[in-house]
Amino acid sequence: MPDTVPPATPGAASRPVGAQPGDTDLLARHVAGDREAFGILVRRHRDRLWAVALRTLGNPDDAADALQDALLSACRRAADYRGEAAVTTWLHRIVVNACLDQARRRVRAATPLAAVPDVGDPHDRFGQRETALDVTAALATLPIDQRAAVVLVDVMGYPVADAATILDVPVGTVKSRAARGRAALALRLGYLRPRNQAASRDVGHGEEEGPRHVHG
Amino acid sequence: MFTADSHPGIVALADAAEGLPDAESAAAVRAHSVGCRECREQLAGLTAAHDALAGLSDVTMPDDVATRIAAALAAEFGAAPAGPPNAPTVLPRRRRRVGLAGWSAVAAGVLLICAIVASALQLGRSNRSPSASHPERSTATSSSHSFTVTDSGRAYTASGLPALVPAVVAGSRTGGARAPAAAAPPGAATDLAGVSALGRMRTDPRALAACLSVLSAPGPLLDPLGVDIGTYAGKPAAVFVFPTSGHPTQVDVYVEGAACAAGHDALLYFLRTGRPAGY
Repeated sequence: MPDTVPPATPGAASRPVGAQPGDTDLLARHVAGDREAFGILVRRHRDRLWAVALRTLGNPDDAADALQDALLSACRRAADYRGEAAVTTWLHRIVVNACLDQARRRVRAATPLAAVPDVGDPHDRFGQRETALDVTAALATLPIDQRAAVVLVDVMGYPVADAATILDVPVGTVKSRAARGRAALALRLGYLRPRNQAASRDVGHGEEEGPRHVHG
Repeated sequence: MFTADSHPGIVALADAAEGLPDAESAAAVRAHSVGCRECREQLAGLTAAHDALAGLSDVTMPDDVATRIAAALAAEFGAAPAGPPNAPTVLPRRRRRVGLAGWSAVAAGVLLICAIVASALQLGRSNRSPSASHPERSTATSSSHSFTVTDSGRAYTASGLPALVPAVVAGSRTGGARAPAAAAPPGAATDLAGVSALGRMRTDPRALAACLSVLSAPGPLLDPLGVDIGTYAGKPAAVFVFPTSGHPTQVDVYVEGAACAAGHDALLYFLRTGRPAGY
């Protein structure tokens, strides 16, 4: 993978860069009636928000629908933002919720492979192309809760604590869903042979198995 | 707790790798794994899954999605102040990428109203001077390439693209004739500048090189098998066909929007399909 720059966490971008307004400033200006502020805020973060929507829902049409719903909702609800989390985390939460709603409404599976451009390495010099297509398809087979956790933690590389805030669940729940999602993907991508029937059964469904985790 | 014959299940392993279960059972899992090749393989599989996920490359929001969202937000700001504060803004919902004619007309109207907000969301588009006349079909080719950029004006679609790839390649290899004059596709009417930007690739090697360099990055410029200019989802678009590296029977097909001629990635669609016979 040619890009070795680690992905920014959702909270990182809210620190102001030089003379540019911070995310919180932009949101405040938007609430105060500045017609351009929200557009600037969205422009700053749209690629990562698009990545989350696209990888979670698996096809560009659904991702675009969910993202439009989410950004309109954020635009209207901006006055509700209380600063308890970073603005990007707040935006991510609205986008992920819109994706979960979209996924639960959808009966059909995500459209495959040709619809998801993956242009990091157009001529596949690093042998990533076929793996990328398989992973995208395999992601679409995960239950939506596991898929959302895996997209935030593994694909986007966000810290588990940020993912927990975005998903509004305890950290242990995020870890558990991501672990099960990873295990299911490992099986489906052929990285593992199902060692026994029990192993396959464990990851075949979306239930939260195992002990509940209590977190302070 | 675990023996050579009874292993922790895959989920228990995954949980232990995350530090999830209580300390005692995590320790038991780890102690077992140290001496157990099978469990170590399972853990390796989990790590491989994580790496595959982390290896998915970054994506950027496509132009058409950015435009659509800009239009939605612009309409939001342009809502009549006299209306009820929570009046929902109804915008046509896109069902599929194909067949955007109706939506393009609505979006064009909204964008005219609130151009400032819309432009805040546009990708960095080069300064365009809409040209009044469409360049004549030219047989000029860059001396270093053995293909001609054609201008068939075909309306490409995701479903129809595989069947048209041979025609794209054949047309570029023979300097193919322009398709019979077709009515301007619905979206092209609102983006004359985009149409002429792509058309420049047929006569200006720098415009062609700008787009090829976006597609070839980070390596040297690659030679396509064929390039054709038409439309995709109602927008001006260029179809590039490249041989797939390491797969002699396949080609990679990129559909790029007008911004590509200015050196910006404007990928509308990607497809890997069979290589046309004879090329």
